Amino acid sequence: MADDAQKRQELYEAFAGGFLAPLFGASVLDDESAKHRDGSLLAQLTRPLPPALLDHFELASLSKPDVEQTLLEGLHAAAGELVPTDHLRFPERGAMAIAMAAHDLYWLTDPTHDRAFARGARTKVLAFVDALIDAVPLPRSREEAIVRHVILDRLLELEREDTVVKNWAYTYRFYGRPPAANVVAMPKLRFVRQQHTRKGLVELCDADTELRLGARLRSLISRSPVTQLVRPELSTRFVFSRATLAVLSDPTLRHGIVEALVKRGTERVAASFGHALRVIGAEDPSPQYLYVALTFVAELQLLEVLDERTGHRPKEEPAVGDEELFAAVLPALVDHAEEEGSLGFLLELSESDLERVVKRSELRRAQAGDDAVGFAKGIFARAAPLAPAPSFHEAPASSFSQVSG
Amino acid sequence: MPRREGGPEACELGFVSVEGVRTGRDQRLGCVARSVREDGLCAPTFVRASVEVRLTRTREREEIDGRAVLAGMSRMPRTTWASRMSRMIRSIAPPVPIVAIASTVPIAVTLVRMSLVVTVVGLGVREVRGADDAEEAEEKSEADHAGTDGPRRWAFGARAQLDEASRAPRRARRSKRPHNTVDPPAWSEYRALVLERAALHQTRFRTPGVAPDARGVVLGQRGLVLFPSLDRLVAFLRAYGDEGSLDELLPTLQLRRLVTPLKTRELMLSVAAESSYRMDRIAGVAKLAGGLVFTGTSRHFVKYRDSGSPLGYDILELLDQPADLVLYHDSFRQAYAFDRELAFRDLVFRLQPYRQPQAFSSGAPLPQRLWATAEIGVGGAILSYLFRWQIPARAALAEWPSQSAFDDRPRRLYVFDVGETPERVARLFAALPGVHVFEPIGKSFAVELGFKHPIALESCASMFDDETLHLFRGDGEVLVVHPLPPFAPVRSLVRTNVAVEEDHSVSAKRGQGQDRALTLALPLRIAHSTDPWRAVTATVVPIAQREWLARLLYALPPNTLAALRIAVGEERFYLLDAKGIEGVPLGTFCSEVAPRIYVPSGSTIVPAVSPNVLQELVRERADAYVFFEAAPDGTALPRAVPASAFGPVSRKALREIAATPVSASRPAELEQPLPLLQYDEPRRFPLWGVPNADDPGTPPTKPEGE
Repeated sequence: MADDAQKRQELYEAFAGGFLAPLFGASVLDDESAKHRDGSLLAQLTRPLPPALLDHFELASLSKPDVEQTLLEGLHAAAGELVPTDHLRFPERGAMAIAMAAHDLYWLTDPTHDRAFARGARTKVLAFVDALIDAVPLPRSREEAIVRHVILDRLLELEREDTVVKNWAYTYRFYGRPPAANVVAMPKLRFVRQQHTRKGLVELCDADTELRLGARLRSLISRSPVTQLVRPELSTRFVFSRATLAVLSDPTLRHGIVEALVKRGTERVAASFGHALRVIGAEDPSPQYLYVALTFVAELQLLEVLDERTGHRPKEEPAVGDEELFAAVLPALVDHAEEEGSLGFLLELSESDLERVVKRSELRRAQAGDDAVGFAKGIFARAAPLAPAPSFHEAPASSFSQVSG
Repeated sequence: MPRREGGPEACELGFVSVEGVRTGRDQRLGCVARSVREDGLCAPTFVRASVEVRLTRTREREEIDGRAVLAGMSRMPRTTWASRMSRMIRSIAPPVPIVAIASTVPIAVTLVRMSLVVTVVGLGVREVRGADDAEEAEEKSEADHAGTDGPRRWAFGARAQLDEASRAPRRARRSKRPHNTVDPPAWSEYRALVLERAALHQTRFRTPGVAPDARGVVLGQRGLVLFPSLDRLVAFLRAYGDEGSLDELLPTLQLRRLVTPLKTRELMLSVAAESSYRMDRIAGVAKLAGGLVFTGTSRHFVKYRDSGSPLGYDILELLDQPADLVLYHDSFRQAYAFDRELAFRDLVFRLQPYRQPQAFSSGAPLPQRLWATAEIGVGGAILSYLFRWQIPARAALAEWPSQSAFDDRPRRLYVFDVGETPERVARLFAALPGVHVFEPIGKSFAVELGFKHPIALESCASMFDDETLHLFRGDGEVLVVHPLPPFAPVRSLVRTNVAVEEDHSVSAKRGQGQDRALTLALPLRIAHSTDPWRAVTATVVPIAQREWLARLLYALPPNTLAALRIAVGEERFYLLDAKGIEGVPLGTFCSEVAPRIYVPSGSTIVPAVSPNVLQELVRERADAYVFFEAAPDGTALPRAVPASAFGPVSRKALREIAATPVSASRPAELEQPLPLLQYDEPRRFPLWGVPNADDPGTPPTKPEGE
C-alpha cells in the first residue's frame, strides 16, 4: 500500500506539475528534456490516469510550493479575464476529473500505442476516459464553473508538434516527441533535414474514427458549461442544457461570457445560438429557461452594437438558416419593449445608444425576415423573468432550482 | 590500307597528308613517300620517293614549300629512311611542332618515333610503274579513282572533280616538281565536304541549336571566335574596344583555352550572339585580327556567314566524337576540349602597356588632371612642391601588406590627385625616379603617362568599381588601391613655418576653455577698417562683465540660448552664435574672416592676406577657434580656443540636475503562452505499474436535481 501511495503521488507530481502547471507557465521538470527547442515549456503527458486516482488527486498537492503557487496565480489570472473572481479552489474534483480525462484522451492520440502489447491498453484507457467524464458533476458555484472552463479552455488549445526527419537514405517520423539524437546527429554530413508541423489536439481527436475520440471530447466539453457557451462551435449541435442555463442565470458569468463572445465576433456563433434558441423555443420549456436564453442572446447583440471598443463589425449579409432566429432576437426585443414586455428593461439605454440599437434592429429585421422575427417575438411572449435575479454567490443551491423550476 | 592495283611490278603509292599545328595557318605536308612491293607490306622497298612539304599560311597569303627528294631509297633500311625523313621534316618545319599524319602502320610508327603527333586526314593510292612512269601513273590513278567515295579516297576523288581548266596549270606546276608528289586538296574541296550553304527560308538545320534570324542568317545563341594565339585575341579585343564598347560583351564573355586531341592549344572567345548585327560586327573585327567566327548554342559551332554564303552555313554531318566543343569550318572540323578558363579581368591586368613616345612630344597637349604615385622618400618633397606652386592637388597614402615574411614593412606609396597640372610639372614628375604619372581614363582607372594599354580600358569601364583605384604602370605592374584611402588637400599636409605657442591658461579638460598664443614669424597687425561689419558671429566678454553676462542669460529667449555656445577662459568668455551674436550685446564683437578665425569687428588684419593664406598660416591650430586681438604695440595677437572647450550655454552655465532613480519594472504578462504537448516515453506495456489501473474508482455522484 505504501508503494501504491508513493506511486500515486509520483503520478500526481508528473500530471499536475508536468502537464497542468506548464499550461500556466510553471513546471516541476527542470531538465532540458521538458523544454522545447526554443526554450519554452512542454506539457508532458504522463502515464494513463485511472479514475480511481481521482480521490487522491483532488486532495493532493505538489511537492514544490512555488510551482503550485504559479499554477494558482495563472489560474486566477486566466479566470479574471472572464469574470471577477475572489478565490478559486484547485484541485477541485470536477476540474481535476476534466483535466485527467483530457490527459487520457490526449494519451490515446499517440499513434505509437497502436502496436502489439499496447493496443489492448487503449480500450482500457478509453474506459478510463468514459469513467472520468461520468465522474464530473455539474458545477455548483461560479468558481467551479470558471476553474473548469479555464483549465479545459487551455487544454483545448494545446498543439502537438510532429517532426519528419529525412537524411540521405531514410525518413523518420516523430509524433509529439522530439527526434532521437542519433537520428539528427551529424546533420551536414548525413544531409539531415527536419520538418516540423503542428496539429491541434481537437483536430487530432476529430480525425480519429477508430476510438471515436471526437465524440468523447464533445462529451468532455459538455461537462464545462462555460466552455460550451464560449466555444459553441466545438459542439456538434449546440443546445441550451440545464447546466448552461444555470450558468447563464448568473449575471456576472453571463456578462463575462457575452464579452468574450463579442470580442471574438458573433458571426461564428450566430448559427449555433440560433439553433439552440429554435430548439428551446420548440420544446416548450419553462418561462424561466426562455428568459435566461433570450437575455443571453439579446445581451450578446446589444453589446455587439454598443461596445465599439471591440472593433467588431456586425454581419451585413442576409442571415442564413439558423442565423435567422439569432438575428431576429434584436428586432423582436425592440418590438417586445415597445409592447412593454417583461424584458423591456434591457433597452433602458441612453437616447443615443437606443437610437443605434433601433437602427441596428432594423438592419437585423431585414436580415432575418418577418417569419423569424415573429417566431422570436413568440418566444419573448412566453418568457418570464426570474425573481429575484439569480446569483451563485447568494444562493448557490437555489439558482439551479430557480432555473429548473 | 592502300589499295593494290596493277601487276607484279606495280607499286602502290600512299598519299599522306600531314597537317601541322593549327596556329591559324594551315600547314600541310604532302608526302608521297611510299611504294610497297605487291607482296610485302612489312618490308617496303622504295624505288624512288620524294617528299614535298608545303606550308601554306592562307590567312596571311603566305606559302612555304619545302621539297626534298629521297632518292635511292629502294634498298635503304627502314630505320635509315626514318632518320632521313625526320631530319628533312625538322629542317623545313616551323618552330612550332609539326604534326605528321600517316595512313599506314610503318609510316605511323616512323613518325611516332620522330616524336611527331599523328592524325590521318586523307590517303590516296596510285600506281607507280617505276620512277619514269610516275607522272603517267599519277594521271592514270586520277582517272581510276575519279568519283570514288570513302574516307580514304577523298583526296583523289575531290581532285578528279576539278575541271580541266583548273587542272592544266596544276599539271604545269607538277611537272616542275619531283616525281611521285601529290598536291593537298584545295580549300573549295574541304568546304564541299564539311559545310553546305544555308538557303533562304531554310528552317531545318543539321547543326544543333541554330535557327535563322529575322534576316534569314543562321544564328545560334552564342557566337564564338577562335584565335590561334593570345596576341590575336588581344588584337581582337583591342580593335573591338576601339571601335565600340567591350562593356556590351563583358556580361556574357567567356575566354577559354582549348586543346585538341593532339594537345595543341588555341583560344576561344564566346559571347551571346543576340543578333546577327552584333555577330557581323564581331566577325568583321575577328577577320582583321585573324580569328575564325562560328555560331552555335552548346557544343557544335558552325562557321558564321561570310561573303561566300551570306546566310551562313550548315554542316553536312555531325562529328561523333566526345568533346567539349566541335567546330565546323569550311576547311576543317575539329573537336576541342576545354583546357582552362581565362578571366577577362586577369587578362587585362596581365597585359603590359606599350610605350607611346608621342605622348611627350612637343606640342602634344597633356591632360589637365593627372594621378601620380610616389615613393615615400620623394612623397614629402612632392607635397611641398605642389603646395609651393599652389597646384590644386590631393594626396593619400596607399598601403599594401607585406608580400612575404622577408619584407620588413608594408609597402607604402603616396597617391596624388593633381588637377590643372602644368605641363612642366607633369614632365618633371614623369622624369623623377620613384614617381609614376598616370593619365586618368575613367573614374577609377588610369594608365601611366606615355603608355597605352593594349585594350581600350574605357570601353570596359564596368570592370572597374569606383571604390578601387587601378593604376596600370608602364612596366606591367598594376597598382590596385583598395579600399580607396582618404584624400586630403596638399595644403593641409604640408609643413609651414608658423610657430605656435600654447597658452595653458585655458584648459579644456577642466571645462574652462583654453587659449593659445600664436606668434607668427611674419608680424600681423590689427588696423581699423571702414568696411561694414560682416559675419559678426562671436564676442569676447572680459571676466569683469561676468555678472552682466549671467543676468543676460536669464533674459535670453530659448532659441538664442540654445544656439549660443560658450567657452570659459580664465580672463574672458568666448561666445559663438552662427546666426549672429547680436543677441548678446556684451564684450568685443568679432567677425569671422576665415573659417574659425575671428578679428574684432571694425578691424582688419594687415597685410591684407587672403582667408586661405590666413588659414594656412595658422594651420597648427588644429580644430581650434582663433581670435585675433590687438596687442598694445598694434600687432595682432592670436589666441586659439579648442573647439572642445565650446559647449551649449545651457550645459556650461547651468548646474547639474540630480535625478532620483525610481525603480520600475514591466507589468507581468497576464496570459502565459501555451506550451506544446509532448508524449511520454513509449513503453512496451503502457499500463504496467500504473496504480489502481484495475480499480473502477468511486462511482460518480449524481448532481443534485439531475
